[in-house]
Amino acid sequence: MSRRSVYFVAAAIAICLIIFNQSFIQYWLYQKRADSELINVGGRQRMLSQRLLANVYALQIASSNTESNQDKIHQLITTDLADWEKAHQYLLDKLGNTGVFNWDKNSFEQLKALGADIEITKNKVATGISSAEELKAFKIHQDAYLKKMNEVVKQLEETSDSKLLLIIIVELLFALLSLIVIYYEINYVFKRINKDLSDQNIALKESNKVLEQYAFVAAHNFRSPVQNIINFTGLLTDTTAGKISEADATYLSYINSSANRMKQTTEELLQLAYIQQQELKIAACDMTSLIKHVQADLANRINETKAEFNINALPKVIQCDKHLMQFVVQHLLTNSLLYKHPDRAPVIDISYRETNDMHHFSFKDNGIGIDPNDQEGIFEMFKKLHNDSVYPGNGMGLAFCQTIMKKHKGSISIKSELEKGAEFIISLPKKTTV
Amino acid sequence: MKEKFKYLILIDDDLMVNTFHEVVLSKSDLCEGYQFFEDPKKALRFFKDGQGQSPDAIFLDVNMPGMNGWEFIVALTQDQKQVPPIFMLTTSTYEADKRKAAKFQEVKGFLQKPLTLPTLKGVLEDLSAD
Repeated sequence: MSRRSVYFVAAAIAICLIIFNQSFIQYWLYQKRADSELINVGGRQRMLSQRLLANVYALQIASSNTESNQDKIHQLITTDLADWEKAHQYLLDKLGNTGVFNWDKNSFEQLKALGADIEITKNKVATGISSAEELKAFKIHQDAYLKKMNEVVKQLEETSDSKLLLIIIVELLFALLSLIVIYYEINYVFKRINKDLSDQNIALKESNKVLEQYAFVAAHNFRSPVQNIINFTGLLTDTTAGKISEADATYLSYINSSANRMKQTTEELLQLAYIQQQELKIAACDMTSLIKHVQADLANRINETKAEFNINALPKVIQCDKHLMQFVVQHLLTNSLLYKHPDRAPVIDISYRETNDMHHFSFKDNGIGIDPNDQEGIFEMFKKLHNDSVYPGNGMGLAFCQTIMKKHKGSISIKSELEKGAEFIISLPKKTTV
Repeated sequence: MKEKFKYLILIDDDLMVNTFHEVVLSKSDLCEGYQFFEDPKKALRFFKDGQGQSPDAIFLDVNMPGMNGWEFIVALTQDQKQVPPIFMLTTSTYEADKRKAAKFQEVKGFLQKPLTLPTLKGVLEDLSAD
């Protein structure tokens, strides 16, 4: 059975159980009302028997006083007698035929026997009660009926109560059964579906991760073959020097430089994947020594360009990922050296400013600068303003810097005008939380 | 200072890398003898059999199918009492790999592929210094 239909069946069973329980309760409530009505009628019978007695007395008194309301009393007695008889039949019908009350036979016979009492009363009233003895006998007869009817009503009430108790017990059992069924459904159907869903969710996250790693894996696998092409085209360049035509040598160099560019892109893709995957390792970091370290790495380029550095009052220690921050600084300084103005040696000013909860480091050069119109999207991936042959690179460096600063919950921004140098400002929170 | 390597062992699963390194080594004139292995397990057997002379150094690729560089070192140190200095050769420059390299005292250096004349000279200097 498919997962969906299991879910549907489980839900249907739960709903059916609830509906069944409700129907059961409603049915027995209805039955209880019927029982109450019977008990009520039984009670009324007792009342009628006594009212008849009272009216027979009243008639007696009225006739001895020759009062004019004798007819009216007579009328009342006749109506009550009819009611009494009718109600007796009603009780017999209800209790005898439907069997709803589940009465024992003795009780029913007891009730049935009361019919004879009613008959006697009827006859006595019809023949007329004149003497005090007759009146007394009538009273005894009516009281006896009252007593017997009391017994019957009591029986009715008891039966009704015990039935109610049974209904409550059965209903509790049904409720318990429903709870058990629903509990198992939750455990074995709904929870499982929930688990399936969360499993799917985990699988989805994993496949996303795989996708993220895809670039990494692809780039990683490019490495060796690209390096081989570089190695052997380099080798061929040496071994074929002077032996092949100038055009062929050019073609060979094209292959070599293409492979080199591919290698660079590969490396940068890997670096980006690395940065994205890495958890920040926040530690105390001395920016002055970090910059010195970067300067040492760039020593060749600094010497070539005769670059000059002005480093002003940096804070002794900040909290950041040293390795990644070094990447940012290295990239910014490399850019300043790369995009130097052709007419002047690079001068790079590094300074620090702080606001309430942020560090701001400024890296300002006197290079060719960037036209404000071109600054939009400068921190985006693969955005390049210059042709490779003039300024090499893939346009990924600043994207990396931004990624790193964002990981630090900081930012990177630029202020620059064409021909007037560029200023990059990196900002990061003083309290870095990962 | 040592002028030349007497004997080197190079382990890399990539035939092209080995071919290129052979050219570099032969051109460098820094090495009297060398042997290449494409399968680290064969290299292990070579050491186990005790054939030939002990090398001045092993150049070892990190990522290889079947048995990677780290596994090779573990297996070699189990087999051999004396393990020659090992230089890891890799295209990756990940911090994690470098940190791993620091855990093996047999690993004397972490070099980026391909081998070049300057790297070879550097290794020769390192070995002489020890």
